[in-house]
Amino acid sequence: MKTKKKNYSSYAILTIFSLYMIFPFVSTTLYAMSTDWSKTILPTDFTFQWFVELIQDPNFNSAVLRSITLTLTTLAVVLVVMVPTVFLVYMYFPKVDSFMKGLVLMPYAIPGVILATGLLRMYSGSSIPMYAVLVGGLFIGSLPFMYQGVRNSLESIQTKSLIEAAEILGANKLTAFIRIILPNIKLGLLITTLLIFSSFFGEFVLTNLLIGGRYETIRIYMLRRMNENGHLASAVMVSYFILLILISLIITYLTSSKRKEKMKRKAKKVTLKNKEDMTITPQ
Amino acid sequence: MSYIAIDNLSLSFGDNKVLKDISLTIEKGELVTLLGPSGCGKSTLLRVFAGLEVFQEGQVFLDGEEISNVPSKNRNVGMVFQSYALFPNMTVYENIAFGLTIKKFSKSEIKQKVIAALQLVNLEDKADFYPDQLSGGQQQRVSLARSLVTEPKVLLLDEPLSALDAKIRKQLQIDIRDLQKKLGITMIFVTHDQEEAMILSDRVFVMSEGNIVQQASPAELYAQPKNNFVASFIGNYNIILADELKQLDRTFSPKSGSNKYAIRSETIHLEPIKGENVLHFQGILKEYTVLGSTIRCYFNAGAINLTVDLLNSEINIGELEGTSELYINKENIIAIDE
Amino acid sequence: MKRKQWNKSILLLIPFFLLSAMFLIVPMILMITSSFTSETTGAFTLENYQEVLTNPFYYQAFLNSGMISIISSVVGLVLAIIVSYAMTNLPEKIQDKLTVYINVAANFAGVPLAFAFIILLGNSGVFRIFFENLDLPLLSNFNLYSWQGLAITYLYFQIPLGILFIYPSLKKIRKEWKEAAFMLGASNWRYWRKVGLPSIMPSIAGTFVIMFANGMGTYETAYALTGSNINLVTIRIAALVSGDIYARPIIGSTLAVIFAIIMILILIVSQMLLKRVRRDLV
Ligand SMILES: Nc1ncnc2c1ncn2[C@@H]1O[C@H](COP(=O)(O)OP(=O)(O)OP(=O)(O)O)[C@@H](O)[C@H]1O
Ligand SMILES: [Mg+2]
Repeated sequence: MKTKKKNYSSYAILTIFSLYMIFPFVSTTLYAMSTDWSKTILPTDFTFQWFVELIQDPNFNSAVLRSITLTLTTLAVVLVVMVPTVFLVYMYFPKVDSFMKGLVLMPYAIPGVILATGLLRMYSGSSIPMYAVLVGGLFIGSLPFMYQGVRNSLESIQTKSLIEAAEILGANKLTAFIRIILPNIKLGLLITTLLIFSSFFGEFVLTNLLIGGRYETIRIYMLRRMNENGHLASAVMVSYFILLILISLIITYLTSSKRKEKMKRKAKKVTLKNKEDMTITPQ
Repeated sequence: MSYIAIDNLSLSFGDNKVLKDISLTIEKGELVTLLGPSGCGKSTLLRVFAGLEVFQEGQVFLDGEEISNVPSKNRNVGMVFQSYALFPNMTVYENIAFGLTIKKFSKSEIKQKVIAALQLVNLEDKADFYPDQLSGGQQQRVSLARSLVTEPKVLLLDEPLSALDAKIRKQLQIDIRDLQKKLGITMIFVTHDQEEAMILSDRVFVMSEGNIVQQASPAELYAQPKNNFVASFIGNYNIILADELKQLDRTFSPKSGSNKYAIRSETIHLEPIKGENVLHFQGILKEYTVLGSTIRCYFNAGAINLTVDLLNSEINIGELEGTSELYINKENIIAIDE
Repeated sequence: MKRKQWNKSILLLIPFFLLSAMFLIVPMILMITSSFTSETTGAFTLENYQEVLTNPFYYQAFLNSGMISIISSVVGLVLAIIVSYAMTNLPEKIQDKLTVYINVAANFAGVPLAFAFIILLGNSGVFRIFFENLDLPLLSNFNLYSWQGLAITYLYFQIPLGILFIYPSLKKIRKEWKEAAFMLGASNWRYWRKVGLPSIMPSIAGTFVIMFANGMGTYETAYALTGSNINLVTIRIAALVSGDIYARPIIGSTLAVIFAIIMILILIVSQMLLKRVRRDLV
C-alpha cells in the first residue's frame, strides 16, 4: 500500500511538470491556428490560414533551405573530421584523450556569444567568407556532443580488444576500422548525428552574430516574423517543433530497437544454452 | 636455437617496471603456462609476444627470426582473449573467415578451411549465428577456431577460460590440451589458477612481480618448489624454519645452508612410518574442514601451526582428541630459497 | 614493439587540430590580445579593463546576469530534484521515454520559448487576461521583459537541464538505497541523511554550477524577449561586437575575456571541490 501511495504522488508531480512543459507548445499551437487571441482566454476562431501563407512565402522556403544547407554542410565536416579523430585519439593517443574529456565543459566556459566575439575579432573584414567561419564555429560548438557520442559508442563495443584481435589476424588499422568498428558503431553514430542535426537546425547565436540578416536561417526568420506577425511566427514554430518531435521519435525508436535486438538475442541465447553441447572432440 | 626466445626483456609503464629482465625459451610444440597472481605481468608478457606492447629493453625471437620490431599484423601469431573479442557485426562463419580474407585466400579455400575449423571445435551448426547468440563457452570456441584457422606459429591464450563456469572450464581445458597435441601447435597459456596450469602444461613459468621465479614441469614444480612464493602459490605447503624443525624433533639436521623448508600437507601422517629417515613429534588438533575425500586438519605442535591433509577413508576424525603422534618422512622436507 | 614507432596516424589528426586552431584557439587568443590594445592607438594598454571595471553599467550587467542565473538555477535545481525523484518511481519504460523528451525540452530555448512566454505572460498574455477577468491583480506588477520575467523564462529550460544531470545519479543511488535500507533496516530519513544525501551532494553541486553557467551564457532567449533593452553580459557583449551603432569590439572583447575567466574559474574550483567531496566520501 505504501508504495502505491508514493506512486500516486509521483504521477501527480510528473503530470504537473508535463503540463508545465507542454503549456508553451500548446499556446503556440493555438496561436498559430487563430487570427485573434488577445482579449479572451481561448482563441475566438480556428484557421489554417497562417500555414498556407507560410508555405507560399518564398522567404520561408529559402530560410528552410538555408538552414538545411548549413546543417548538412556542417554535419558533413563534423562527421568526416571527428569520427576518425575520436577513434584515433581513443585508441592511440591517451594523453590527447584525457585532454579532450575537458571539452565537455567548454560550452559553459565559452558560450556562443564569447566564441562569436573571438571569431568576429579574427575574421571580420578578412577575405575568408563568413559562411565558412560560421561552419567552423558550429564545428567547435558541436565538439563536446560529437566527442562524447562517438567515444561512448567506441567504449560500448570494446573497441580496443576488437582492434587488437583484428591486427593479430593480419588486418591493418584502416581495414579494422572500416570492417569492424564502423559497422558496430553505426547506430550510435546515427543517434548522435540526429541530435547534432536538431541543434544545428535551430542554431541562432552564431548565425545571427556572424552573418545576421544577410543569411536568414529558420530561427532568424522566426525572430523577424515574430515582430511583424505573431500568428505567422507561431506557425513557423509549430512546423519546427513537429520536425524536432519527429527526430526525437526516430531517436527513441532507434534506441529501443537497439535494446530490443539485444534482448531478442539474449532470449535466444538462454534457450541455446540449455541444449548446449559442451565438448569439443578432435576428430 | 629454440623456437621462441626472449632475451633480457624489460618493460615499464611510466615509472612502473612491469617486466624485469626476463629471459625464457620455448620449444616447438610445447604448451607452456604463465602462472602467477593478479598484476604480476602475465598478460603484459603475453602481449609482448603478440606485438601489442612497447618494451624498452631486450629481444624477442620466433622461429629463428628477431621479431622485436615486427608489427602484430605481420607476426603470424594467434591470440585468444579473455573477453573473446569476437566481431559482433559478423557471424561465426565470417569471424573465422576474417583472417583468411585478409590474407587473400580464394573463396573456396576459405570455405573449406572455415568448415574444418568449425568441425574442430564442434560448432558446424552455429556457422550463421551471431556471437551474442552463443553461450560463453561457445564464443570461446569460436575465438579458438578463429585464431587456429590462419595456422599461426604460436597461439597465445590470455586466461581464456576464466569467465566460464567450473564445469565448462574443466571440459575446455581437456579439449584445448587434446587439440594442441593433435595439431602439434605451440601454445602460451596465461592463467592464475595453479590447478589449470598443472592440468594443461608441459612446462610452467611461475611469475611474481615481473620476474619468472621458477620454470619447471608440473610434477617438478609440485615436488620441488624453489622458494617460499612458489611453495605457497602451488600447493598446500607448510613453510617451516630449520630452528622450528629442530624443536619438533632433535634428530633433524639442516641440509647444507638451508634455513627454510617446505612440507606438503599430505606428507604428514598419523600412522608410524618405518625407517630411520623419519621425523616424529606430537601435535594437538585445533580445527578441521572436510574437503571431500580429504580432511584438512590444523595441528599445533608446540609453537608451530601445521596444516595436514588426511584421507577421509583412513581416519575417524571424531575420535581424534588430545595429543596425536605425527610422522614425516625426511625426504618430504624440501629445502627452499629465502 | 621494441621502440614506439613514429605513429603516422597522428597525421590524420591534423584536420581536427587545424580547425580547432582556426576557429577556437587563435580567435580566443586574438580576443585576449585585443582586450589589451588601445582602441585609438593600437598600443598595449590596460585602459580597457580599467574602463570596464569602473563603469557601473558593465558592472551592473554582470550583476543582472548573475542574479537571473542564480535564481533560475536554485529554483530550477530544487524542482529538477523533485521531478527526478518522482521519475525514479515510475516503470523503466516510461522513464526512458521521458528522458528523451526532457532532452528535447532542454533544447527548447531561444526564440520559440520567448515567443511562447510572450503569448502566455506578455502584455496581453493569456494569463494576464485570465487574472484580469477574475479581478485578481496577481500579474499586474509582473513584467515579462524585466529580469524577473527572464528568470521565469530561463526556468523553463533550466529544469530539464537539471534533470538530465540529477536523474542518472539519483537513479543509481535509489537502487543502492533500496538494498542498503533493506539490509540495515535503516529508516528512510536516517538513510538519506547519512548516506543518500552525502552521496548525491557532489552531483547536485556540479549540476548547480552547470545550470548557473548555462544561465550566464544564455543569449538567444534574452535577446528574443527584450532585444537589447536588458542589461545582461551576453547582450552587452553581442551589442558591442556586432551592433552597428554602438559597436566597440575591443570593449566587447574585454568583457568577453572577463566573462570567460570568471566561468573557467567557477568551473575549475567546482571541479576541485567535487573531487575533494568525492574523496571524503570514500
Ligand atoms: N596499459 C597499461 N598502462 C599502465 N600500466 C599497466 C598497463 N597494463 C598493465 N599495467 C600494469 O602492469 C602490471 C601488470 O599487468 P598485467 O595485466 O600484465 O597483469 P596480469 O598478471 O595479467 O594480472 P591479471 O591476472 O589480473 O590479469 C599491473 O600492475 C598493471 O597495473
Ligand atoms: Mg591479465
